[in-house]
Amino acid sequence: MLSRAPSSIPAAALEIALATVSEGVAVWDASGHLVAANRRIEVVLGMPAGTAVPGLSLREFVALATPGRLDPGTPDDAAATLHAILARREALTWDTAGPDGVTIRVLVRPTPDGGWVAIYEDMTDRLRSQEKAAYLAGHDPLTGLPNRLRFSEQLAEAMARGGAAAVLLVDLDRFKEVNDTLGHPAGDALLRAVGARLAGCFRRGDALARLGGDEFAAALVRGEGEAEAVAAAERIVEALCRPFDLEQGRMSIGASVGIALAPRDAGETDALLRAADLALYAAKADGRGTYRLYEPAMGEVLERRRRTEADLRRALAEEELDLHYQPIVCMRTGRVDAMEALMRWHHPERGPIPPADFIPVAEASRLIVPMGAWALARACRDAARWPAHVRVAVNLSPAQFLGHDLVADVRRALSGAGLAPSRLELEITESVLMRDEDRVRATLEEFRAHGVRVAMDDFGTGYSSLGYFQRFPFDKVKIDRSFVAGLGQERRGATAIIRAVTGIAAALGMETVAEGVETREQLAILAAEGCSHVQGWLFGRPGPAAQVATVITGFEQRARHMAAKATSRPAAV
Amino acid sequence: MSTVSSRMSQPEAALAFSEGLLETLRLHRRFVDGVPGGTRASLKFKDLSGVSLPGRTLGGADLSGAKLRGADLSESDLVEANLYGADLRGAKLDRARLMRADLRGATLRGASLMNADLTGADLREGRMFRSAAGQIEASWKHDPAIVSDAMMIGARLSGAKLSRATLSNTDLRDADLKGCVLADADLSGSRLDGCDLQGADLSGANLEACSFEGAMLSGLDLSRSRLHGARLLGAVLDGADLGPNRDNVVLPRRFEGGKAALDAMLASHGVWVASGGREGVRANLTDIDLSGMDLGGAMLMAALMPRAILRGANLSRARLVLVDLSGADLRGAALPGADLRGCDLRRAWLNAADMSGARVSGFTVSGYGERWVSADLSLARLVGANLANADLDGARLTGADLSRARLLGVRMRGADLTGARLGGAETTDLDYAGACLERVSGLVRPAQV
Repeated sequence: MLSRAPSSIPAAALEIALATVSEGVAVWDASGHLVAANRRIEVVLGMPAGTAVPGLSLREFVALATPGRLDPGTPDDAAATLHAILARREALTWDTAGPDGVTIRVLVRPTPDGGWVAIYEDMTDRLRSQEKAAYLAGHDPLTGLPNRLRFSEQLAEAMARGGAAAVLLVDLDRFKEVNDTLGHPAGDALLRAVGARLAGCFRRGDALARLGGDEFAAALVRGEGEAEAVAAAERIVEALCRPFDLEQGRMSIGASVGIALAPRDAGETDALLRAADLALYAAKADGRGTYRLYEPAMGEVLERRRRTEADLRRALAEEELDLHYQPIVCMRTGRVDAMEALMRWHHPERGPIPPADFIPVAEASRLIVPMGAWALARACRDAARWPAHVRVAVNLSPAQFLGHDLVADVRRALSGAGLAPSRLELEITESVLMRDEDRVRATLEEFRAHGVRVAMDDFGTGYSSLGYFQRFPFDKVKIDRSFVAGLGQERRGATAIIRAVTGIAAALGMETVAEGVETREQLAILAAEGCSHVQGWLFGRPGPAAQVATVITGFEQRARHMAAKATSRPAAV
Repeated sequence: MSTVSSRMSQPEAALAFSEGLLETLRLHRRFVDGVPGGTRASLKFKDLSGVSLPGRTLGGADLSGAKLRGADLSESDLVEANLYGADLRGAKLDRARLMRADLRGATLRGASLMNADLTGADLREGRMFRSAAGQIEASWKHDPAIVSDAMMIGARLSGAKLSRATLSNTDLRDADLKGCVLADADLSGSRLDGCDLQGADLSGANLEACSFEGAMLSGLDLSRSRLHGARLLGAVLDGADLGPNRDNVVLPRRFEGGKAALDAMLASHGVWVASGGREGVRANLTDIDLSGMDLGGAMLMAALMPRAILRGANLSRARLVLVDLSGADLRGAALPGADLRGCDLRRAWLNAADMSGARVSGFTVSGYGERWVSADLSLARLVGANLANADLDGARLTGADLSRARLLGVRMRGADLTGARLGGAETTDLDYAGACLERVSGLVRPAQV
């Protein structure tokens, strides 16, 4: 291809040398005409093959290249610009960015004879990966939203500019369930969809980021106050509680939002984010699907909870937890049918901690999973020492059904204690059933296949859908104490509700347990309405394992005594 | 109530990702590279749902009618690929290269196409069906391409053919839609903020409830588009014909009350600044049209002026320290000697503005610890602007367009010019010592020999 070569180098040698390089190379003479070029130059500049021939003028050469690849202007403009650059007679470099996304690095070097050598290198791929690396440094690759680092920078700068900002931290409710049940691809798809919906809740210029996991953050940085922040939070909660129709199926989640305002709640970024985090924590504690504005007292509440969590972790490791048992008595025989295991915690410094204080903390931190496994094992061991007709009832938390092999826990507890499966009764609340019906049903059926009994706890406190009885295999239903408390006090409908539940339970072959029985009057009504079992202070408060044998024996003796009295009584005339 | 219900079984990626597929891809790669023995991949009508093929070379491959639901094709080379009638629902195509790809009749509902390049791609209507004789035939009358609910942030669609396509509720922020054919397309509810739509054909397009913040709509004929409820704040509308739609859209409002009201606002803002925010009222001129107004020497420190229209306004020697002027239209505005330190000028339109001698460097904010706030001109458009002798030390100019700008004697020491464009700019005595010059184009500088 070379027709002429610079005087001192043989043309053939130069041609071979140029053919081997990956850059496009062109040699120009002092009059601005092409002396030599390699084939590669045509590829790099998008020229038709075989057109970069010696003798071309600079303008003709530019006109052959893909438009815009060498210069955004017309070939005449481009040639003029190039001539001006070359007139400087020094080694110069620049990058061109063509409209087709191709970037060429140009290097020109003057030659002693008044001409110049130009080298063209396609930088597109290299710069693209550089650009990608820069993008990834500030963005979450999954959702395309800025990441935590970028968000903090944006927030700090906005606060420095005007001193005001509103931060909204968003946490998805029930995201873990989607990940656990449908797998990570579904979780990822959901996060992307959430990112897109969140973007729709904000205006251009508002900062929005994914901080990690299922946590997102937004900041209003144009002097917006509480009203605008609350409106944005409402938009978020509304947008994220609508179901998501994804390839993996329909998913319903929800979101909790914590709001903090600068300068009211904090003056600098980290403190503002901490405040929003506390508000988020409070929103989640409020039952999720809601938002909360930061209040100074939230810090103390959280601190207390954190301390409780740390103590609870230690308590579990050091066996400070204990189980107490409360009798469940059969109405027909007057004997103890089962003992319900109830978790107790005696703190070495704070003394006894009420379950209402530590169970929610255990649930939130998922400490409930190892605690639940411990309780199962311990309850089965204790029950193995009781008379064979007395079962043990253990409560299960919704968390134990998720991302965890609960069936294995139960199996281990039974075999470890050598307890017959029929002597274990597992109590679950409605909230378990509301999570992932198919999965829960499969687990419950597996329990029953093993011979373990299943009871519905606290019936009447939630949705109380009678449909559950049809869909789930329960052996027993426990009527919540709030209905029992209404008996005999003329509370509207209490007796009717008890009657309805016992009627349905009997029809479906389930036993009924009335919880919280405290008076003889309540007992009489429950007996009249056909309730099969009772539990409550009237029959005994929860007590330590060591007392169980005595309690059972006491009921046995009373039952025998009553039976003897009944048989010795003359028949009614 | 169920929170999660399964509508279909999970795509079995492992099954689809068979040895056969790998071999096909390997041979295709050889074909693309011109290595002997290579063959063009034909994956026509293949079920590749859920496959993970990120970064693969599929340029020119035949994927017509293929099932690619939920497939991961991010960063793949699909240049000129035939995806006619392909099912790409929920597929991941982020940063994929789909230039000139045939996507007629393809379904991209819920797909993610962030920063994908669809330059010249064809997404017109089209459908594959099997005729009674068993032949695969194309239909030009039925379903148009469906791209609704998709993420197409920053996608390049210049010259793409999308007539009658469904793009509703699609995130097209910062997409390049120059010369795009969108006749009769449904874009309702989509986000088109920052889009460049110059030369696009939007006749008969449904643009209801679309957001066009900062979009370039100059010279467009929108008189026959459906624009009810569209937000056009901060959009460039020079020469655009809104026709009867003018009353149905959200447009910037003109500043009311004239000079007296302006003076009163400036006075109150001055009090707000002097009292550290305790008294007075911070000036808020968000989305306000102030074009041609005289704000020479005005004290507007830390004012809120995002997307304000200041076209041709006089802001010479104005004190605009820390002002939020993001997305503002300052084309042709006079800003000589203005104090713009720490100013937020992200995505601002400053084409042909006079910023000679302006101070556009950083500003130290005290209060809760000292903080250096640099002037931010990221993605600002400064084509042909006059910045002679301006001070832009430490300024952030990432992705800014400084083509043909006058940069004589400008200080840009330590500035961030990542991805900035300086083609045709006058750069005599431009001082960019210590500046970040990654991916800068058009800056002619001495070569390290």
